[in-house]
Amino acid sequence: MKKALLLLFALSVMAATPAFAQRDFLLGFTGFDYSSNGCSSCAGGSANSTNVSPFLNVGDTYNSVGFVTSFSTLFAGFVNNSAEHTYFLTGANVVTSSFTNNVLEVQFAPGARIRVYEDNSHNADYGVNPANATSPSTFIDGNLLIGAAVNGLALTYDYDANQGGIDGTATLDEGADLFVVSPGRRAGWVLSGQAGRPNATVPAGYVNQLSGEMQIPGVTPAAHKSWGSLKALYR
Amino acid sequence: MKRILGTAALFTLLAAASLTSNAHAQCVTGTGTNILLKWDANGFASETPANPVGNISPAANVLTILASPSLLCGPLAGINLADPTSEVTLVLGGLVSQGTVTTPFGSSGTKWTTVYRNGGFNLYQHTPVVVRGYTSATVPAPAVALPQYANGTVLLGGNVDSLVTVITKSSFGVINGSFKGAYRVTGGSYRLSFCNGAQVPGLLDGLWDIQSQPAGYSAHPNGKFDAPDCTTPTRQSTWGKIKTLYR
Repeated sequence: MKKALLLLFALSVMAATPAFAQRDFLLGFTGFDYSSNGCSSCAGGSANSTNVSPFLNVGDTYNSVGFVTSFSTLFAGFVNNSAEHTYFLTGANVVTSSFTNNVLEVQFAPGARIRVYEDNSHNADYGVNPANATSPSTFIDGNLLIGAAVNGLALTYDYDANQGGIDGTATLDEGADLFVVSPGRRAGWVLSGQAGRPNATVPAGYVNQLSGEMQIPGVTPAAHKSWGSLKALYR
Repeated sequence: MKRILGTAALFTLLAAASLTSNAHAQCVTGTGTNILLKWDANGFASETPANPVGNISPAANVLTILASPSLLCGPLAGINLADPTSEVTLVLGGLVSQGTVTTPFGSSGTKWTTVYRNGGFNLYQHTPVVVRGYTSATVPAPAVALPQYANGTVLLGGNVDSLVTVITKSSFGVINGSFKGAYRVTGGSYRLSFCNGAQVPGLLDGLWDIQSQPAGYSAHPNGKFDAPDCTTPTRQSTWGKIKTLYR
């Protein structure tokens, strides 16, 4: 009887497991971005310029702080749900910046970093005109849960549509909860977020509100075929 | 065996609980306009009669978005998103495509812009928990999923006057997408908690991921509703002008 029940349980788990994972979700977030170490004399605007001029010139550093709004079930039992979960994306140095046809396209050097923290103080406060007395300091206190190197990061923003976003590839490599992700699954996470403005929620000195996630989009769907049908493709 | 089943049940509960973080601080931006709700992995968009091909949504297509919030704020903050007996779902529907416009983007990229109009939304609460754990690998086809999401008590409902999706292929070849729209609360049991029932527009926006979608779906939106700004518009006046209003 026990064996039968265990078999039934195992079968139900197998049935719930997808044949191929279409998307692997790590975490979702919302926050705001800003630039630092700006080159105010560069063409195209100065650091922390907001709605009028494009920001992010060559030499600037892109940053974002905010809150993690959900975690993958991978973290089940390894995050304190009553704690505050915050992130800090930093070290994204602008290597190319183009403003053409009212569209800002920015590429960042490899080696940016995103870190997720957990603390019980619930003290995170954006404040205004970052970096300031509370940001990023209140977003990087507590325990480092997980961190990743971010490469291939790019930002685009369409000033006509007032819509844009960021996109990069993250490799998980640090933090107390790194172990929940198997070593073979730590690379290839896509960090992407929508960047929005003008928006009444954006505190002074920040540029965009970010809403996004880290996920692996998934493998290319495959279909079963016979050897004969494959050979037929090449005849 | 009981111990095994008990452990399995415990892990299931932990998994469900882990899908949501503690809210409150995430909701506050410091500007007076704060986040109302957000959803993350559990967001799926599809169109009828057929999904867009090559990022082109034919005019008169109808867009539907199904989601399960991961964060509730403001008047909704008291609702427990990890409740094992009930769940909250969000459906945006009836959004009629005005057709997709393709234009150059930046130096050498491409942009696909689609405007959807005259839609609506409902935020539901129902029992039992069915859709909360759906992922892109487990969500059923739209026709099956829709009644599972659009089910129960309407906490909040209203109009989505317009929603714009923008998909871009940048000059670097990076594909990105976003959506942005405006909503107005017109119904639901929490209606009066928002601007005393006045239909003040609020912002909804987020990420619009078009890559690797489950069968039947066209995009994965990850987004949020900002709370409507209930601040009554004011303007400076003089005491004399105010007195003249009553003469």
